[in-house]
Amino acid sequence: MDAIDVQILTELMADAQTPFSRVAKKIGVSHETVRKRYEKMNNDGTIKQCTVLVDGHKLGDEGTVFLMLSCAREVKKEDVMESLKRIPDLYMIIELIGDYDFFAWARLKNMQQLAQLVGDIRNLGNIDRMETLLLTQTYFTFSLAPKVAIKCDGMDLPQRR
Amino acid sequence: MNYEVKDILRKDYIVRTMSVGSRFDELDIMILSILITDARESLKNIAKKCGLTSSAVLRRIERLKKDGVIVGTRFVVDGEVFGYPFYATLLIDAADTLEPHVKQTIRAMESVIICAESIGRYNLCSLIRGRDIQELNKLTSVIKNIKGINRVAINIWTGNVYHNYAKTLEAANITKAVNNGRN
Repeated sequence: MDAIDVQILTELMADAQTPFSRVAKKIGVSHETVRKRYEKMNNDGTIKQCTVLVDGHKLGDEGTVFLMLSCAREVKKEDVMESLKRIPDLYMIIELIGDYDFFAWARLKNMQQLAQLVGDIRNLGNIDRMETLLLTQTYFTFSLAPKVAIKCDGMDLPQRR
Repeated sequence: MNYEVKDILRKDYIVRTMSVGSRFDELDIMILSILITDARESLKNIAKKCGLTSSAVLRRIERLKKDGVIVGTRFVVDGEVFGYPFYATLLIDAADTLEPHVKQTIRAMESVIICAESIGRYNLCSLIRGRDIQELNKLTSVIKNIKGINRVAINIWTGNVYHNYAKTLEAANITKAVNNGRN
């Protein structure tokens, strides 16, 4: 990582679909340099994801469910993570230190789906305690960059009109 | 007074479910999930995967943008690059009457990523970030001292994060949602 890498990332923060040629022109390096560095950062995991934001309400979502989960005593956290990944509606799972062991995000489509989701998690058998928090916004993802690089309110997707 | 069904159901609800039912098909969903996986995927590759021409794909993407399904792009990088390696989830129990004020105060803070009201045991849920553990700790105590907050629980992320939105967009899932909307 050097200054040029950071500059490339900062440019792409504003719009992930900026053509490499425009990025190259702006920071004064060649198109090829930008492409090579981007690929390198993509492969070594510096770039986590390059994605479009989707308004879940338009796809029929009512909001988001945040789940706080605690594992049972005798299970390995890694195993729980693996089994949680297989549940269809969970799109983000984060391991925690604190009161709870996992923090998971899911789409909230309707009450049947929520009941199904909660049932699926209970059926795993390795979760001891579960806290369900319902949010009316649909969060897709958020930026891990400082506020200067990107308008962070942007992660609050438009509220239902 | 006479009520009709359309008066009782909120207007936006009807519009929304109709738009889901009539305007998206499986190809749209396929294009969406490709773009979610990689927003920089070339039109040519998307067209090949969907069996459409490039211009047809472009038309569909433009329409998805116009309809407000795609609302922007997001570039997610390792927080360490910009010097914020620590993240935490805060669960906040605030006094009901003061909640809007509390939410505004927390949102205005520099290191707060999300602060949203939630329905459940805690009525606010917030994500924060920091350069080190001390910073998270300091922020938590600042939040604890806001008037109207009863309790704050902090859970620090270990860095083991799994993230895949595209898997929730599989055609079967969407079809089900559309049907539910229609019923």
